Amino acid sequence: MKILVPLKRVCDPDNANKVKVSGDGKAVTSEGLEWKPNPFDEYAVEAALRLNENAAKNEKLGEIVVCSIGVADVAQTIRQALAMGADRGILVTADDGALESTVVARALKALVEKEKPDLVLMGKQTVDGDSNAVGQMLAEMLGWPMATFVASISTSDGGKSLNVKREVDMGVVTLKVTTPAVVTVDLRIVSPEAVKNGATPDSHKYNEGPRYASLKGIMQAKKKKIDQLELPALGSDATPATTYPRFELPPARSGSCTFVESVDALVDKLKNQAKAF
Amino acid sequence: MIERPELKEVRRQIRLMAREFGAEYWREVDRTRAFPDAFVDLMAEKGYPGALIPKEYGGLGLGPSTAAVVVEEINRFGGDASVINAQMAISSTLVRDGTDEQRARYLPGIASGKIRLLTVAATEPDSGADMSHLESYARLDGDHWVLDARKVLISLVEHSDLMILLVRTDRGPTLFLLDRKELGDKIETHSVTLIANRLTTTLFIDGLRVSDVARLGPVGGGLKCLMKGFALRRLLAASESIGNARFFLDRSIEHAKTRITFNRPVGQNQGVQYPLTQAYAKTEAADLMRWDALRLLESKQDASGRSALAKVLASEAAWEAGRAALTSFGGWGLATEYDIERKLRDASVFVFNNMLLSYIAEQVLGLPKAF
Repeated sequence: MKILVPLKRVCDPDNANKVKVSGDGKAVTSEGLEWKPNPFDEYAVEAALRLNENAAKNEKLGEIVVCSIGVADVAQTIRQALAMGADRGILVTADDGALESTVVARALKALVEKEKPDLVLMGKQTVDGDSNAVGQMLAEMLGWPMATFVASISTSDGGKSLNVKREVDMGVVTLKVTTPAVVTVDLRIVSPEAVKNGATPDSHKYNEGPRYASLKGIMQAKKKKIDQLELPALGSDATPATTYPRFELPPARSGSCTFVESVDALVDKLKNQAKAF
Repeated sequence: MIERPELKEVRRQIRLMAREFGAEYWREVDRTRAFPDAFVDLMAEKGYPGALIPKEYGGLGLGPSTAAVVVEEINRFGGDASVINAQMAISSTLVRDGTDEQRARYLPGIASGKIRLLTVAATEPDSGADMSHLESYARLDGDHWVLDARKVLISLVEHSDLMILLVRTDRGPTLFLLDRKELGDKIETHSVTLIANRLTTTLFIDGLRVSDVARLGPVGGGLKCLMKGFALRRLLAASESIGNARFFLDRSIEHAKTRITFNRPVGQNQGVQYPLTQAYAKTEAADLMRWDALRLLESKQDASGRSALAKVLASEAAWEAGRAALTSFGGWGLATEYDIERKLRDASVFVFNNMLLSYIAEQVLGLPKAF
């Protein structure tokens, strides 16, 4: 199977409280914070690797192309996925500030038409903007089937269809999706038995979480190809559908704590003071 | 020196392991004086023991810089790199001076982590670091050697499949590569509890007969074979120390910013700032010296003096950073749960520098030989 995994870098989510707003209120700044792959995208890379290998025989079965849109430094983030085992990368250079969900979805559509993957596998959302929009927009633009918030995948018909489980508020929805398709993944896609591909024995248990790159993988990654092109060269419309006129930080929390004597008092305060319900 | 991007990725990958092997894991390993099996297995699975082993023997044939950043990052996140350091560094003696047969037999297993080579037994009870007066002795008996040895402060031998032993022969000091499986009851170990978890023992070998195949390097060339690996060993010790120093600095700076007493962060006090700044300056200097020595070593130039300087500077910087950490943390620095005390004990292992200072005095400054 040929899988395209879009990957975004985000500023260190463990230090999100250090994000600031620029003096003019026009942008969110993350100076001094480390860039990391968006965790959900990293899960998508891991799921793609699991779909395209026989883990028992250490065999690779298909091709995984990782793409990202952003400044030239983003190549480093792509390289990290290549170290984990993806085959090659595509970097579309663009100014970070000019990117919002619609622009990204249109650019990805152009990449999909160029690369013709069987599956686009991506994080359900990025942890910086938290928009949770690109996967859905991309499926709509392509006219492809879509499954979002996917927590497990098993292939059937030799990979032509995917049986997926989606975790939603009401429970778990089971869907059968025919490829080519767009699938966005949730945290549990990297649990030990979340991906079954018919090649790795069903009894195989992966370690929880995305795999560590091997030292060999890291060294090989520097030789793998990353095609670079500029956003206009894709020919997709780069006009943002939404603009952000102003950013403000939420007011600082007071951090106060009140102890109550009874459950009744708590319910009363939640209802009448905090107006929680 | 600008670090190569793939080394940055090596650092990042090692840091990711801290998610799984965090402070609690290392505290427990330290408390129970255990071998860090699970961590060592993961390192092996990801190919780290083979970093310095040539490709034709199943390794990756990488330079010492890779090994240096690996041990540095493990210590920096609060782990203990001593085992992986030993496996990477000691195998280089076998790479350089092993016979083709020894290399083919053992190196692929060492590279994959299936065979552990973690021990060089050199130090003796009476002569200490004076390797020219060895009591341990190998005598030729027909085409076999008969070994009698008494060694002290020997780390990890109970967890090592192979060990390198230095003994005297009639033709001078000589190395033997011993397979633990073949030693049977001819070897006896007694554990010695140290301040840090180094799994140290006193070692006795009594009348062990081995064939000449077990000899590593030429008869009488044992010290020379070991010395060829000293620049690498000093640089990995320096890198472990830089990792320890940065662990202390990272934790102390964060603590000094966030710990409030007398209505202000403790880091606002010069009494806290100055020791941290001094330790930081010395750590940065040691780091630069380390990279300069690595540059020499990787370009096949003489790195002996620079590597010795790097080891001295880095171990002292780590010790000073540990002291500064105690100033920042106050009494909490002594509490197990903050890990400062554990890493101080780890850092103490590297502070014995007198032999190296004499070496630098003689070799670099041209002063008369002290030892």
